[in-house]
Amino acid sequence: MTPLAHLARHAQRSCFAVLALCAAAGCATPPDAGRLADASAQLRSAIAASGSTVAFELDAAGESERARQLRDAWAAPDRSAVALSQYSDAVAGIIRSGREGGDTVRRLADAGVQLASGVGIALPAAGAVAAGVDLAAYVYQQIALARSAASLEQSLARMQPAVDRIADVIGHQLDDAQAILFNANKVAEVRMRDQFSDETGYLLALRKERQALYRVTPLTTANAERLLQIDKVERTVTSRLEPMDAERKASSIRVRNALLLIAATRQAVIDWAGAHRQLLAAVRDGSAVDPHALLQSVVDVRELIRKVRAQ
Amino acid sequence: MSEWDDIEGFESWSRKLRSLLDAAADAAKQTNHDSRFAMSERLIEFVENSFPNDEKIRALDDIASKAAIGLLEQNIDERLKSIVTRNTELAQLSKQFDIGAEDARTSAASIRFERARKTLEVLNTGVETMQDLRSTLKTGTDRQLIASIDKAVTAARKVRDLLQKS
Repeated sequence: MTPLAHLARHAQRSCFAVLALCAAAGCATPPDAGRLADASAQLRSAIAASGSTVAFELDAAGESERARQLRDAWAAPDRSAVALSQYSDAVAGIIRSGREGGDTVRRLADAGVQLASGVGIALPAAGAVAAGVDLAAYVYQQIALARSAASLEQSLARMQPAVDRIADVIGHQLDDAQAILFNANKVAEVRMRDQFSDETGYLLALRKERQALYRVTPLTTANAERLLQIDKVERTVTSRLEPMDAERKASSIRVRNALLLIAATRQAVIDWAGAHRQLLAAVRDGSAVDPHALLQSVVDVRELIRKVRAQ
Repeated sequence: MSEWDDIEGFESWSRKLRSLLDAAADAAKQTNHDSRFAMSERLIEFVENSFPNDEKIRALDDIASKAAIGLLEQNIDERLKSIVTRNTELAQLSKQFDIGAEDARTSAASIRFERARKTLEVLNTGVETMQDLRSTLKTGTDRQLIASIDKAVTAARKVRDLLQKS
């Protein structure tokens, strides 16, 4: 039997099964998993950016060995984000395959016709072949849709516990990363203060002297002159502290953006797991998938990654 | 009124630092990261407020700074350790997702009739190669014949491999 004839017979046999499946499943087209796949790609960047921004803060605090340790340790969350992304792509692939069922049959039929003519098997008239292929394509399209829905449900249901667990574990990794960020920033502050301790100490001395002079009443000419002198010296010393103030401001912006990125990444992980759950429900009972939360977290994360990279 | 207001002279500052270091040692033994962070902030405040800024006080400041950094580094190390510990589970979960992805790809391939299509493609290539071999046997040179036989063998092997896999 030629592959084409086999295909036509398979199509006929399957026709009834498809009708039965359609009746049972409402023949709903599986929901779009493309958004889940897109969000996973974004999540991958966000998890990587969260790790590297904290490692950068450790470097800035003079903790390069700990920064290296974090970069090494963060390879696992990075790797898990890659696995999530590939899994989402594969899930989206099931749905695509279901939608492309008709094309698949046509390509298969073309290869069958080529083989039949290559080995010298006589085929029916061209019009009859085309009609057969069209029927097979239509029927197979329905089979593919039903099969993709069933495969998708199986894949999603089997992975849902792992999805919930990985969201939880990544959330904890991000909590730890955030704590490292706070502590690293504090270390940087202490080291910077040490570097400018002469100036800050002198300022403190000047302030104390001024307070003491204020307490002396009535104000003598000598004390007034000294107060003016203190003012002048204070301005000079303050100007020498400008690099420290500039670094403090830059560091505060950096930390704020890093905290926002970590929070947005944490939210994106939760939304991703939620979207996976929604997708499963949609395949099971035909409910609608609301991509709003997932899309919003993708937008937030994209914007924050841009900010963090621009620093 | 703050805890620094009534401290005057090296002895008082030194005594204050000693009490802070005792509290820091307690914080270091605890599992609570927040209390270590809070303790490091008190040590930083010591450095900010200690007076005058002479050599002896600076030596105290140096001790306080180092103790503050030590507490913060302990927090960082523990968080790093906790990330590394959790990575074992993360690696297992990643593998689970790899398997899930592979299963999903297999499902998608089966829906696309991929194996049937590949079989037909390989068979088509085999037929074409055999047809080339037949025409070379009729007209070609020895070198062309050898090349055609090689191609035919490769095509036959591909068919065999594919059949073995199915």
